Amino acid sequence: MKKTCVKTAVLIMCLAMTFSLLAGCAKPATDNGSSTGNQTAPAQAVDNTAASSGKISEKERVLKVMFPEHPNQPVKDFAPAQQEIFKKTNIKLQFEVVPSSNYDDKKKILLATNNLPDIIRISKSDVNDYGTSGIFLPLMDYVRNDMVYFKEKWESIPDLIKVTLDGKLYGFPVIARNEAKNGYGPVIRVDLLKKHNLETPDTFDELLDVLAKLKEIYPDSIPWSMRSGTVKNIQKIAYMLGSGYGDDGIYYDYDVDGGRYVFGPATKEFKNVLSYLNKAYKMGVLDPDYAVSTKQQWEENLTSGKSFFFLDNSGFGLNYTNNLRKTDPEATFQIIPIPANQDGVRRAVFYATVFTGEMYAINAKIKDPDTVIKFIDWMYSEEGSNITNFGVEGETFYIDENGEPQFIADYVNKFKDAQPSPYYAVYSDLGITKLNFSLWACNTMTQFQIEKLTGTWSDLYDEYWTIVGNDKAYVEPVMDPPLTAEEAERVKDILASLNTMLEQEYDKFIIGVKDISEYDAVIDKAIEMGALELEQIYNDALARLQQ
Amino acid sequence: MGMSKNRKIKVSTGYKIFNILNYTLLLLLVFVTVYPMYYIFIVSISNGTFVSRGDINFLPRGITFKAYETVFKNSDIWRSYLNTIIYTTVGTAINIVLSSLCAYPLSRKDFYGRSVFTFIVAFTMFMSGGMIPLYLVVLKLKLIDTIWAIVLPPAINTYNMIIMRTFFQGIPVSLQESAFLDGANDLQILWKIILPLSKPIMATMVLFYAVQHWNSFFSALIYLNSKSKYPVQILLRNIVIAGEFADQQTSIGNIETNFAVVATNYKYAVIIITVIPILMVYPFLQKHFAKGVMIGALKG
Amino acid sequence: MKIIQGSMPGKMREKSSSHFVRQIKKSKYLYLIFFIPLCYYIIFHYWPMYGVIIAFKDYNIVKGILGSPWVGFKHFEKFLADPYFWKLVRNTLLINIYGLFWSFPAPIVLALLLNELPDRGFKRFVQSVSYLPHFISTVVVCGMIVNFLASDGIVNQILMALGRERIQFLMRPEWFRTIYIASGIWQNVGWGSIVYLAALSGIDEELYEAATIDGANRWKQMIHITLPGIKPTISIMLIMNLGRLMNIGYEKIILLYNGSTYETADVISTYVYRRGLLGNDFSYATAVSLFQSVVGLILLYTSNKISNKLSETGLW
Repeated sequence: MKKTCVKTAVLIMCLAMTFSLLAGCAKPATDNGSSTGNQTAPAQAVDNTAASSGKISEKERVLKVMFPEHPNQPVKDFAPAQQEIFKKTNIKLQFEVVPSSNYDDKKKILLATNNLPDIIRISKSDVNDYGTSGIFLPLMDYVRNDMVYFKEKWESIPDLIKVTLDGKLYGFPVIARNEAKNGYGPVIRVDLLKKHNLETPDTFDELLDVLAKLKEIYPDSIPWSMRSGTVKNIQKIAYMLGSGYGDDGIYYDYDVDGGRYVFGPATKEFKNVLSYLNKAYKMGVLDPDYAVSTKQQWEENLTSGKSFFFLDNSGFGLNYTNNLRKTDPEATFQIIPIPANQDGVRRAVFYATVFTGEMYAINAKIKDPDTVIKFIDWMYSEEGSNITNFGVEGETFYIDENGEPQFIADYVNKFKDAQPSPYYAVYSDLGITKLNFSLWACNTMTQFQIEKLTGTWSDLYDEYWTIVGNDKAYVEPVMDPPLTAEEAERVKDILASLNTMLEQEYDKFIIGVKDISEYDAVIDKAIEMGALELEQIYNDALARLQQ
Repeated sequence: MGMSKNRKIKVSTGYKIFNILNYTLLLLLVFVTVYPMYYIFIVSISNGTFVSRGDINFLPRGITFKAYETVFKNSDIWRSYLNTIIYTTVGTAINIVLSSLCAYPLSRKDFYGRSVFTFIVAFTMFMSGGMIPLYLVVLKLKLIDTIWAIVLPPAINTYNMIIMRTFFQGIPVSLQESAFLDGANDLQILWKIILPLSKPIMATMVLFYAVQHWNSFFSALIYLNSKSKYPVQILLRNIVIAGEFADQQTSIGNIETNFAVVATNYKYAVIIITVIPILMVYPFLQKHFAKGVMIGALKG
Repeated sequence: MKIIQGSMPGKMREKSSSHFVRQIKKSKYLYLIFFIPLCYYIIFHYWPMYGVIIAFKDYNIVKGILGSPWVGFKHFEKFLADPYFWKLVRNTLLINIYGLFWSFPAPIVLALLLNELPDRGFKRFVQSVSYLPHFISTVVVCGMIVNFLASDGIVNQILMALGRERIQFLMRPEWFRTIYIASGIWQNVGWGSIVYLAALSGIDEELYEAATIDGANRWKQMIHITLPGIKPTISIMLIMNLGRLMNIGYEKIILLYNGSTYETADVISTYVYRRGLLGNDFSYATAVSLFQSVVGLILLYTSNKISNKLSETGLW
């Protein structure tokens, strides 16, 4: 009886699966049309001359845009900036925001099922992964023939060519406007240095000595505190010490062979990184929990006075100073110029400032692409950028004598006491800047204006920006080149096993379980597992691009 | 509950020792389960300056409710709270009805094809086509951006349903037989006999399913497009997690000057906000776990 | 006539062709009741199941699931031939087996202990608070664990006070499983005991009375009345958990592991996650998940068979 039961079960299941297969076959596996239902007004063939009303779109049109929402800056429906856009262009922007913490999950599903809204925020790596599938509208021809403002920007930033794939452009990059440059940097308690008559360290070795002296004076301290784990910290310091570590190990080194991609951990120079950290660990200067400390613990250490130094997002120093001064008015965290490494060289990398990887792709199935392209082009113009970053002229900003937009003080001061900060509140109220839908986007430009107007700016900030601005050690980062689908697959395969092997080794050298001389064997193993092949793929891809 | 008095007649020293150990162990359990939640609560109402230094241990310092204020000031929160209540109520109702309708036939040994159907159902616990095909099905049924995409796909949690079935199997057959002899059909037996006797398991299932809905965010994330339909967990999760990964690069970071409230305050406030409704509901369900519910009904 | 548990009187087993029809007729109301749930399973579980064929194809978004090209076992080869993959399988199984061994009985024991409390007020109190950790989000729980086990955290302070050396728990592969499982027990013992408490409340009080009159002490009562009373629940839970031996979520592990503990902490899901779920990797991910499902089904089938043989209870 049981046997027949099981047989029957299997039979029924086969039937069920067949039915489901047939059901899947009967209708197309993917839906035609946007996930968001009907969107556009009846499509009109638009000619290239401006519409008689002077607006971008002859008829009112709704465009659905999807991008992540950061909790610090809630996105309003049809905020003043979008109202202004509608007035000027007849285009009504309808936002579909997704919490930034899970943006990638949703994006992945929508892309995988070909269910994009009209415009969707993607990252550069999505171009590699999805570009050839045909779900994004190819844009290169429009750029060459129809666009004006964007074309100008495109041509002025040659490195942008890297966001193309096989010569095709699949998304419009978000370009930063007037963005202040900074990067990971060394930040130290300059007040304690003064108090105990210690010189600001000029080399990395001097840094360790200074921290060791501080440890003597404060025996319960953890002078150098870290967060986010071993790999992320190697990433932050490697370039400064003469090697490098990009997102997954591959980085661009200007000083090697006139500039090429290198897989950091498979080079001799990488030993300097590990032995430096090992020295810090042995001297008792580096937090023994450096590999597991959370961001929260790291911040606790710095704001409670337990730690004096960090090498991370240097802007945080200003935060911690403000916090510390609640109980210790003298306390000051400040960035110092990049110290010289063991070879006497000073080098560091800025964050990507002009282009940070965000792009907006257009659904290949969109109706009347010409109008949309014209609209996007307008977003790159000064008028479009002013509205999407400063709001409504005359109400929230004015144009000063240099032609630059300036926030109006009365408006901004309404948000003086807002949490978490006045500028986020302003952005949220108006629907502006980088965290909203803006293509030539401001971040630090608007932030500094608002901070100065509401009185949160301080001399410390001026000092910080001066130090960073004058430090010649920083160089611009170089983007990864676009890879073909096969190359991307191969890279992923190599990296998965290569990094798994390497990540198990780093701590052994930092803690000192293994002597640094044994790292040569690790390098050999890495090469065996494909490290050089990785470099080859990247450098070839770069060469291909430059033809 | 007069029965328990009889059990106390034979009290030995062995029993007394066991009792002491039992109490001690359970008190220890209470401490390790309550203290962390207590800690989360006091941190959430403490001034951010102390919180960021890790200065809070057993008492709150610089009491401020600003974290809660800020979370609730977010105009989207109230709407999303309402959404969650609706999804939870509707969803749990569907869960209970469908799970019972599924579990009862499977609990009857004379249900022809029982093994086959059980296998078909259990099979789905392990085999699934994945997120993409399910999304396509929901899309095809035109349920995207509606409440049905949230409550229909998880309508029966097979794990829960099987537990329910196990309970149904424990109900004495004699009851069902006598009802059958009285002329009742299966539907009436289910409604008039089985369900009233299943209060403990029904209470448990209501709790499990309701909590599942209360905590769920992933389906809403995937299937809903309008912010006005989001349940509260999507917003709350964003607060907790976005703070972890933010500012790895680019901007100078959020320069705070105030520190009355820091990220940790929000994170912990969010947990308290999530737990409080459960704490309020649980006692009502708990009384159904009392002993002798079934037998009491039999005698009555 | 022998009354079989769960069956109705008057059903003689006859081997005739009308047997089939008669059986269907007898169960007709049951079929009616079962109809809607069955529809649910077909629509939301079996209809999407055709998607598993992604594992045998190179998924192309525009071509869709059915239009994508077949590649046979290409994706399976990729991970089955990788020796590191079997390490991941080993880690997954070990964490789950140890986990099952320690954390399966814990809620049961708790339920039994609560059951033995003479003071009902205290019992209700403990019940009402023991499940609280279940509601602390994983991110926060892991933050607490890291804090607890830090070099200057509470555990190490106790060790120092006892005159022992500090241990960097989170950097040592041999401690990972213990940390993972112990924190899991803490988080879930209260919540997990609810099911068993509900089961206990269904045991006939008269059985206890009779046993007391017969002179059985509490221990004997537990062995002969309580445990058998919840045996069906325990068996079913055990079978279903055994089926999940090959599955483990990545979220908590990612928050607790690091390069130094990959040796024991790296599991299938974390490796797939690191490899990059973003991008066109649906085929690969589906293949891995299909592998896990098949293993799970085999385990489920086997444990069900054993349970049926040993105790006459089983899933089917």
